[in-house]
Amino acid sequence: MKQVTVRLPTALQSFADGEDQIRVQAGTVGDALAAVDGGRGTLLARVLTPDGAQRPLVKVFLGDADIRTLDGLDSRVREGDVVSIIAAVAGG
Amino acid sequence: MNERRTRYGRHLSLPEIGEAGQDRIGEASALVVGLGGLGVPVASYLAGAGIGTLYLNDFDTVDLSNLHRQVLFAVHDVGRRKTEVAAERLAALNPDVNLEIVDQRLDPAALTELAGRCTVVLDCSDNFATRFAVNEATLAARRPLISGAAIRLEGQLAVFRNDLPAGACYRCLYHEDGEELETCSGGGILGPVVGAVGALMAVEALKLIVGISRGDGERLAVYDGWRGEWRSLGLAPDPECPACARFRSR
Repeated sequence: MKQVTVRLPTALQSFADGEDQIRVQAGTVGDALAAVDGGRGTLLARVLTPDGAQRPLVKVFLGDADIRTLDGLDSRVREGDVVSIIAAVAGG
Repeated sequence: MNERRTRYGRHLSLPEIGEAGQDRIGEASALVVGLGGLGVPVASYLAGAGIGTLYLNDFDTVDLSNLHRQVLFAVHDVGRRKTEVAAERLAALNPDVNLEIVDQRLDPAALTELAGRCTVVLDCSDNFATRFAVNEATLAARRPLISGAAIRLEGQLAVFRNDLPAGACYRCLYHEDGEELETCSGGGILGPVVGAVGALMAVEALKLIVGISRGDGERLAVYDGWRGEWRSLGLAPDPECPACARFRSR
């Protein structure tokens, strides 16, 4: 297990006690998201569909790479990696 | 010529722009979709830079609640069409610029036709339906799309090379059938955040027009105003993107 930082957009910080980033132990991106969710299911439900895909207006990056271009939620993390959840924004 | 040298002197003295680059700016045209918090700085900087033609697209009127971030407008403009007010102010800023008002909601065909008249399109809109429509119009017209968005103290900025046969488009990044996590009116916006994102959209437009962009451009810049940080994330084409499949495979 590696220590990684998960960064959250404002819209999801209420699911993480108002924090904008949380350090967790994880082996994969999916593990990291699940660790932030803490078994409540509320955060994961906003990021992933019931079948585990990324929701259409939410993206997950490992470092600067869209996990779609890696192994998705199974992408392996390294010590110190940053997992970023990016929510689409339409405001102009 | 003296007035040109004076007005654009700080551009002309930039070796990356110079006379040739300023000529390119003067020959270029841009479509600004939305004259809100992003569209106002975008239009202002492009007009100030001496862009040849600026198409101003918005069908809304100035509201008092706009003024904390849409600094082209004033209290006495409340109730007037944004396009009309903006054209007045921008003409006063730089009479060299040809300002074209498009004060209606455009259907896909009209949007594509207008995009096709422009060197670059800047999406400053405030809703996802328009964002996906502008993306498709620029793919259809093969024009680069500069997309900005902001909420609270967060901003996003990306250049989509929809003019090229390959690359990531807005639809590769986000999918249309999604549920928005929050709305701008509900989430609020710190005024200068849209100003910052809009100013950088204008930077990207001018770089594209002059031809001085570096890197592959396939980046999503994300601004975190609380931390005062910009992060750069990679954009990647989605092999299953229906918009690219429809417009890039022709």
